[in-house]
Amino acid sequence: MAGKKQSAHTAQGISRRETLKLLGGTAAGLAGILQARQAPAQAKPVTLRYWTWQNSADTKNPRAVAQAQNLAAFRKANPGIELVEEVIPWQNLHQQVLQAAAANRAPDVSRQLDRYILTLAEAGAIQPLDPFTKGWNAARKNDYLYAWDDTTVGDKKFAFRQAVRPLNVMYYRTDLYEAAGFKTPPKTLKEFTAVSKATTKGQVVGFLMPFSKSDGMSKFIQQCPPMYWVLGSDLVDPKTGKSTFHQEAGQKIFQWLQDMVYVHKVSPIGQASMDSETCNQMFMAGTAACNFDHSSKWAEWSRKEAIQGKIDTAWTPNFADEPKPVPVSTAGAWTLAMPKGAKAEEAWKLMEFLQSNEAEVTDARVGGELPTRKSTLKDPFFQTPEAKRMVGWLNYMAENPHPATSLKIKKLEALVDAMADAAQQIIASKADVKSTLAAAAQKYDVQLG
Amino acid sequence: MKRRRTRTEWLQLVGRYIALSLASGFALMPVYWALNTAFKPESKIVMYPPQWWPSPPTLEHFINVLTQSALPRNYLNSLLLAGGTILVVLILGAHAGYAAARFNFRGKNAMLFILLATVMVPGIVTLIPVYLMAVQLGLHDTKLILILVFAAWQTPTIVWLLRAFFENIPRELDEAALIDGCSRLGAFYRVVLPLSQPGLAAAAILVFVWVWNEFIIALNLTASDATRPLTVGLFFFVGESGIQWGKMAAAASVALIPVVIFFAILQRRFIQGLTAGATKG
Amino acid sequence: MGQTGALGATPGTHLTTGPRPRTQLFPVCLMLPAVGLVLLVTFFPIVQSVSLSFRETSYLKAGGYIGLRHYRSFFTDALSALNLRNSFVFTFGSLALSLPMALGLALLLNRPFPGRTFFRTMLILPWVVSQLLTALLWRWLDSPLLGPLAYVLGALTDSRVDILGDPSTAMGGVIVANVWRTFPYAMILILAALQTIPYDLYEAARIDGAGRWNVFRYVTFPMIQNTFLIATIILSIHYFNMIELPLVLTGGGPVNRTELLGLRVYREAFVLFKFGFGAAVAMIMFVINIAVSLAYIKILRAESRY
Repeated sequence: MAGKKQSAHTAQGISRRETLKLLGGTAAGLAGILQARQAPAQAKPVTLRYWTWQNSADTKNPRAVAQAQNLAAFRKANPGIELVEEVIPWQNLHQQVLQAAAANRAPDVSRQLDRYILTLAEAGAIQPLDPFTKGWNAARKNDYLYAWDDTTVGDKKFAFRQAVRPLNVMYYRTDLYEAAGFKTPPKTLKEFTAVSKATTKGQVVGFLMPFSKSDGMSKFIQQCPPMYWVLGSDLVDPKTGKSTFHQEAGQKIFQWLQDMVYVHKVSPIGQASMDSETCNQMFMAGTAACNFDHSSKWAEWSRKEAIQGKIDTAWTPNFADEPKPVPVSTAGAWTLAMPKGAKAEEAWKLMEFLQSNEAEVTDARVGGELPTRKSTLKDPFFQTPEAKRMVGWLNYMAENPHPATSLKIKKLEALVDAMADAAQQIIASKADVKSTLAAAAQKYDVQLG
Repeated sequence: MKRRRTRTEWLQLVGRYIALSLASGFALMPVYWALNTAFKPESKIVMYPPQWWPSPPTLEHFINVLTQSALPRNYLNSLLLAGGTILVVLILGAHAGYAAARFNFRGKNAMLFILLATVMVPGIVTLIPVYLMAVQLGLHDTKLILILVFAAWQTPTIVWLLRAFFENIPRELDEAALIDGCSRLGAFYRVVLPLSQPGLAAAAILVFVWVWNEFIIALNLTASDATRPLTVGLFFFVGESGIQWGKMAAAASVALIPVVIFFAILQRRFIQGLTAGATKG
Repeated sequence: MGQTGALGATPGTHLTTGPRPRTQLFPVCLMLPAVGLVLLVTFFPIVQSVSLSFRETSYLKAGGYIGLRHYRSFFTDALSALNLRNSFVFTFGSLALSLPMALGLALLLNRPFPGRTFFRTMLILPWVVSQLLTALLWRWLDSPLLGPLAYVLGALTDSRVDILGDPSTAMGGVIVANVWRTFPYAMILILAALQTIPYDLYEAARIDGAGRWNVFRYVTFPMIQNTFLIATIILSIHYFNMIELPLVLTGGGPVNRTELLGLRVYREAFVLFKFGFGAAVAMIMFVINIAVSLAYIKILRAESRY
């Protein structure tokens, strides 16, 4: 009885206590909310999304280390910006940006291959940067080592290069070439064919060129323009944009490629379905005697265990068989672009920062990347012996320039598709060069509408 | 009555073991190769002839994958997506399956047909419009759209599966519950569902495996690390590390673990799920 | 006690098994969400796909109607014939390998013996691996650089073996990878069906003096025929529509020799950004699927009359 009374009392007491607690809690909550409202508006950090193909956490790759340093410096200098890096494989970058931009989910700044800028601009996936550059005077615009027009579409500026580098660099095995009797690297096509034959033995392949579509036939599309240029031709007609890759020059090039497989027995048939990374890997593992790529790979490859001390760089041999230097190709380098829907102000800050002289020197010193601005060259780093190879590249580019015509190819993905099909048939099925190329040219021209 | 095996029976037994061992070897070889590569130091990976056993073994690739890539984040996303999809599919599927199992009503066949007809639709047909729809609705790159799309693809199978399980539960139990005063839904929740745990478990694991392994829908409907599931993350990791086979193998091994574990533990349910309805004469 | 409720209609419940279905709101509501979701994500997009296939598209924008032009382009393109051929070779080649393998292994696993669960577990394992992972694993195995297969085959034939790079063997490589992943599915189905066959039937046949082959032909197979057929149907549709495995394994190469129809759709739509054309090819795939499914349904109906 007493217990019951007590419990009733307690029950009441509890409920009263509970109610008081509830009221008190609500009051406290309300007070908290009000206070938060009245508190001085603390600036919420702006989130900036940056798409890159290089993982900053990769400490083994000098270029990645350089990227990490630059981005860290940017974060330090901009505490109000929260920089989020996302790694997308370079083969998928332009496709992903296109899809994401349509959905307004694109990053604020993205690295893009220069040859896809035209496609991205025409699809409306990236925005013009003229609002930011309109205040620039002629001197500032002239500070670049590349033509302003390289990254413009219809007179609007859409991207800035991150490196101005030669694409036609021949990495080769000094030990194998010397054993084949070449103390200096081959300069003409005949010499190159000869040394490739001589170095093809056992597991080692003297020369190979990949033609897989999975990476947009990247290596070949970067290497072939100079081959066309020395023969007086190009991939497409500069005025009409229609194919010229199937004409005499192209036929010579593809016939030679086919002969390297079937006549000289140097290149493997399987190269028709290999991609660039496979080729690079073979070179790094020591099963390829040479590899054509851009200059930025030197920093990484010169440190690889299997080939350390055994490689060097030279210029691609002259396909026209004259011992003359080949005009340099600069198309096939990375640029920074601002996708649709980006937080423009902050995005521009990042772009500007990455193009600053300090950032470019870091890229050069740590990552082995060539700068894009003339003013950067004034830095004392470029007078040091470390920079000797890079200066050599810069001088070659200055002495053998050529407009980057590949950057103006419309619907590049369609051209790559058609050319890769033709190349694969020529290499893997030993198809007739002339007719296969002609069919590919027609396929591309139809797409141009 | 156990008698000594005859010679032919011994030969048969040995033959059986040999055949099964060969087949098992075939089944395990790729997984074995991934693990083998994942534990090898980078320098020993591209060796000719290839090494069949890592010596010396190393954990560097696993550490690398777990600390230097977006894969752990992708892992979490996959878990969330799987969980969300299982929830939606079980809720939708159980109710629909119950309706199909217990009731005979106008429109039932039409509705069942709609659910069945999705078997005839190749995924790629809907991929393009679903992408466009997601863009228009502003749901591109969200977990929500992925869960909805995944659930839509899995629901039909699960409806058929659960329907078979519900049909195996005697109607008398439902009615007993109704007589006791339950509402129709109450009878479902309180009597039928608890008895269908095996079916629900089978459904859950089927959905889990499917969502965990789904790739192409996610590839085109995501645009950031915050939503990307493991399959897409792995695909990108492959593209990014391209020439670093050790890291790739480690990533692949890590991706395999949950499904293999789930499968090993819930094997019976998994098999039940796959075979329900298909073995009816 | 409550038995009367089981058969006839009892007031207060709607559990009828009457001959003519009535209009009932309750079960319709139960089924509606599921059906609704499926309609939204599967059927309405099909309608949109049909519409897209008749329109001009540029990157991600849809333009005006152009009638059957996309369809005509597809049928006049030499590559399309190759795509169709590849799809059929892939489907039938995979079936030809996976079904006998599944049947054989199911028969071996049917009787209990020490280690049976272990083997069964090992053999089902490939089915839980995703197509993506399967492609990656087999890409390594087949790699001429670091794959054991290429090494072993190269040692045997004393030449450089590149399974996935050689146009004549690439499809074989894709089929093997595909069979590896999918045979367990058929195996499980057939095994489950085998387990329902009562032992007495075997005994009776043996008493009648039937040899092993005849036991299989007249006792075993007829009992699992339906399941075998279902497994064939499900797998063949799965194979025909497959994209991920060949996409990651070979990308359709070399020389488009492994480009299945589904891959063509993916490439046209998501790599070349020709959504309208991609939708048209997808529609063609859809029509083939419907035709084949209808044929299968007819066969199933005919079989189940026995």
